Amino acid sequence: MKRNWWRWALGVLVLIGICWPAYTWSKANIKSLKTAGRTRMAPVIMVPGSSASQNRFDDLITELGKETPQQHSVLKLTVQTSGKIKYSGNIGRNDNQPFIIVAFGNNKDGKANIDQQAVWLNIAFKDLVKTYKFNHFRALGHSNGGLIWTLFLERYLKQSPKVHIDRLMTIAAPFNMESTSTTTKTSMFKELYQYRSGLPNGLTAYSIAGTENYTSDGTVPYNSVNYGKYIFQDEIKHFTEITVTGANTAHSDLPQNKQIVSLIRQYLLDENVPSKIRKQNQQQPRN
Amino acid sequence: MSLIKQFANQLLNWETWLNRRRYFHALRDTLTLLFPLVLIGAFINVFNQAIFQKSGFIAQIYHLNRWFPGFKALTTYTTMLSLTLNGVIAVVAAFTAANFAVRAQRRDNLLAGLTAAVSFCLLNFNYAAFTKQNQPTSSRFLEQNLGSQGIFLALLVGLITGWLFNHLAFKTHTHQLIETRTHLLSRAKENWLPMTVTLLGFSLLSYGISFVSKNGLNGLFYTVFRLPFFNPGSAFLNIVSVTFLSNFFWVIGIIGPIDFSGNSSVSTVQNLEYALQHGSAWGAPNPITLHTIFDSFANVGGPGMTLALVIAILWRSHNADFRTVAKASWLPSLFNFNQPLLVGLPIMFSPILAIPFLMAPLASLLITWSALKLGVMPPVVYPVGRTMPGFLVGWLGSGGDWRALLVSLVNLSVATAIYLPFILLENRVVEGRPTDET
Repeated sequence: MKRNWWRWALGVLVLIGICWPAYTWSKANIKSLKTAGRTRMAPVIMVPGSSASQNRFDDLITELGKETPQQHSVLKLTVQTSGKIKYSGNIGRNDNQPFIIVAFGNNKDGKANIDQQAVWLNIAFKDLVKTYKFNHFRALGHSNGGLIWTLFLERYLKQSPKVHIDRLMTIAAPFNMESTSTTTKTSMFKELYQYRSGLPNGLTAYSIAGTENYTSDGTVPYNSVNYGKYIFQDEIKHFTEITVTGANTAHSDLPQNKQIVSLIRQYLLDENVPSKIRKQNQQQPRN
Repeated sequence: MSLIKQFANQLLNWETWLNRRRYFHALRDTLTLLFPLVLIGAFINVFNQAIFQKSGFIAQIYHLNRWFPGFKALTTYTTMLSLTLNGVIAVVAAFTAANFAVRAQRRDNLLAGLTAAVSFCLLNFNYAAFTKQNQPTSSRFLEQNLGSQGIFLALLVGLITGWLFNHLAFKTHTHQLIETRTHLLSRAKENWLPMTVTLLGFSLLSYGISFVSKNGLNGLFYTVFRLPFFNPGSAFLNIVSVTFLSNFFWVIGIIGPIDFSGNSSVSTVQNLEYALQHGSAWGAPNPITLHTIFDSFANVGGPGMTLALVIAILWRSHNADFRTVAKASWLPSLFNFNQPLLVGLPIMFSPILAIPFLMAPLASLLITWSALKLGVMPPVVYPVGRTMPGFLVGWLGSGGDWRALLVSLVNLSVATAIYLPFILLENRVVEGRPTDET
């Protein structure tokens, strides 16, 4: 009986010895969380083109994961037409460069839709900033995703004044829609051109064009991608156009094209790429 | 009342019947034999993940990393222990399962075991090692499949190997205390057929799978088993079914489709941001998620509320085996490592224990959900660790709300009450076998 009494006393003592420090630790932890915030995070936010879902960049992410030493966690969002956001995946605790993909419930082509998608991007963006408290980010847009980004940067980024964009990369973004002409201006281009002064001055942008032949990548005309210069030149800090030819340069293959993947690594992610790739990237013919 | 009695008798009969099946018996024997290894592994996990890891519970509350001498070295040392011992447990399981499966038929158990272990490794070859020639660091085996994740597949490989040996070996095996070379060579002669067939079969299977799945057969298993677990959202029934399915997988040895990972999901981060801004967990935007009700309240002592099982056994069980296992495993169970109980009792593949193992978490989910819906307590919003004792998670995760602690304790008592009848039922088995008691 006596032995039992001792056991109970010891048990209670151990329990207090754990609960009390645990409680003080949790209070201190909450306090430090309050003051710290997550400012070191700089996500890479990707927007797919029309008719593509939030899984559009899976191949690209696998390609990037093959080479990169750093593991990026992936968060996917789909903004419904009602403005509600569906999340899947998550961002690792210590991941400072996660990939975030923003897709849309209504992902149709056409100016009216793209205008609306830029508004939805803004809703998702604000929600992300509120949740993750980042103040820097990089942006990647494929096809119409590039147009959505451009519109967003021109018109809506101002609504989040504390957040700055470091780099933008558009892949085969048809700034003049499907027009092959060098003179006709579509209404989409006119809108992008009209608001161009809203672009952040410190932005560095890369526009990548893929070409299967001399005029297009099979879907987007080269001349339409080339129209980007009228929007970006003299409005932002740096604007670079890169043309990729060769294998896998059909419009929908571009995001996982090996050459473009290495361009993304060097220019968008700012990785310390091996000199072999760096050299290869610099040997790009410019036309 | 008689209906319940009838059901209980049925259950007991079924269990006895199952135990008489040769391969099922081998399976249970394998698990029990693995118990000491798994127990040591669990203690190492406690040292590694709860004590000598910066994010470990004990390390955090006592700030061990600031003052404990040699903390970093101990982190490395215990991580090494954990990765090696727990990292190859499935290979050991394959060996043991084949070994037991052929014993009753008096076949060569050692050769069968070795063949099974090699076959299991064959199935987990990393074919990416061929393509990534410029990266010599990539491993030749899919190491993550050789640990407890791979136990289900390992048992299967072991039993299949055992079956092949039982049917293809030319002669029965005679055990010799002191081996002679002649006997050893005759063992080779009598068993070359099952060995070749097993190795050939599994290697071809492995190569075939490599065209479909990058992570081997096990990876394929896990993708299929994970399919139902995408984003259960906030619907209560979804969370319940996901939990049920996940715990069911644990019972049959498929460990961990749902991981304790809720800390980083978007809804959790949103909750945390809200709480930090408002200074309280009340009114957080996502009160009902997998994290707030399953991770935090229905996982006390590991999946299946196994801490309640430990309590029930130590309190009322007359089964000496059960008591031995429970006495050895309560400490890891406090930090939510319940693998020793799974293989020691075993809970895995035991119909009697599987029922409360599946029901107890559901009861906890229901209680927690009601408490949140009725506004009795705030949800868990602050970060909690994987090794935080289960009954403290609600309290610490809600910023020290005593009502959450109360709900945790209610959950634990209800879970104990659910386990108790089954422990009493098991007592009847023991009392029916007086030889065990003496």
